[in-house]
Order: sequence, then structure tokens, then C-alpha cells
Amino acid sequence: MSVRQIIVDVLLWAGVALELLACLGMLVMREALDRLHFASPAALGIVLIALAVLVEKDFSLIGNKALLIAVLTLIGSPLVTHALGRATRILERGDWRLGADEPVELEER
Amino acid sequence: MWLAAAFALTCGFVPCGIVCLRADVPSALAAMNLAGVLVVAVLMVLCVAFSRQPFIDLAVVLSPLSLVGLMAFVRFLERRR
Repeated sequence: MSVRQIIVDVLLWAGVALELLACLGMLVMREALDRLHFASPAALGIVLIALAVLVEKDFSLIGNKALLIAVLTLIGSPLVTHALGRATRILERGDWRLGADEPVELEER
Repeated sequence: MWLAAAFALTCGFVPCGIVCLRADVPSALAAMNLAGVLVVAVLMVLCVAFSRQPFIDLAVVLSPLSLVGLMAFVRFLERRR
């Protein structure tokens, strides 16, 4: 087993483990905002799997597309998570802004 | 090895499906986001497992489209209030 194959194995199974842990966490959590936290390990799992594909296939057409998928996921996943968190708050409280009944101190700059 | 990884990733759809069926709408959308990411991962792994390029083309197309589709659902969720 070459070093390259070991690196591919480690990256691939680390990515798979992260994805499965994210799914498990999604199931265990109760609140929507808590479940949203598990989108980021899932995105990181995609990056690890894409890196495994890149190491396996080198900078070929498949490797380059795997890299593209990793970049798209890294850019898009936080956007969607943020939008979904904002929409959840709007659904629960009517407005995403801080309410008068929420005891949070804000520093005025 | 790659087929085993694809099978392991496919098992992740079960918790996502349970959350989609049983939880409220925002939780279901979060689960759908995760399911979309899982599909992209499965397609990438299957591409290497079967050595067929079209699988990764599907993944490249699906990755931004699933995000755009989720943003459309999020927009409806905001207006639902």
C-alpha cells in the first residue's frame, strides 16, 4: 500500500465519518437552529472527499471538477445556513432583529 | 473501498428522512440541505468507484442547484410569516 493510497483512504473515510456524524447530530438535536449547526461539518466532509478524489485522480478532469465542487460547497453552504437561520428566526419571532424582551447588551460604537 | 464509502454515505439519508418527516419545516429544510450535500458526496464517490465521468458532472450541476433550490424554499418560509 503506497503513501498516496493511505492518504486517499484517510481523506475519504474522514469525510464519510464527518458526513455520518453530521446526519446523526441532525437526528439527535431538537431545535431547528441547533440542527443548522451540522451543516458545517457536512460541508467539511465534502471538502475531504473532494480532496480524496483529487489525490486519487490527480489534476485530471475529474480531479478539477471535484475541486470545483469543494469550492462551490464552501461558498454556498454558509450562505444557505445563514439564510435558513434568519428565516427560522423570522418565523418564530416575526423579525430577525433583536427584540425588546431579549436581555442582550449591545455596545454602541 | 469507494463502493463501501458510497454505501456508508447512503445510510446517512435515513436520519435526514426521519427529520424531514417528523420535524417542523425549518428542521426539514436543514435536513434537506444535508441530504443535498450527501447526494453530491455519493455522486463524487461513485464517479471514482465506477470510473465514469458523468457522475461528477451531475455532482457539479447539483451542488449549486440544490443551494439555489433551498434559497427558494427559505424565501417562501420567510413570507409564510
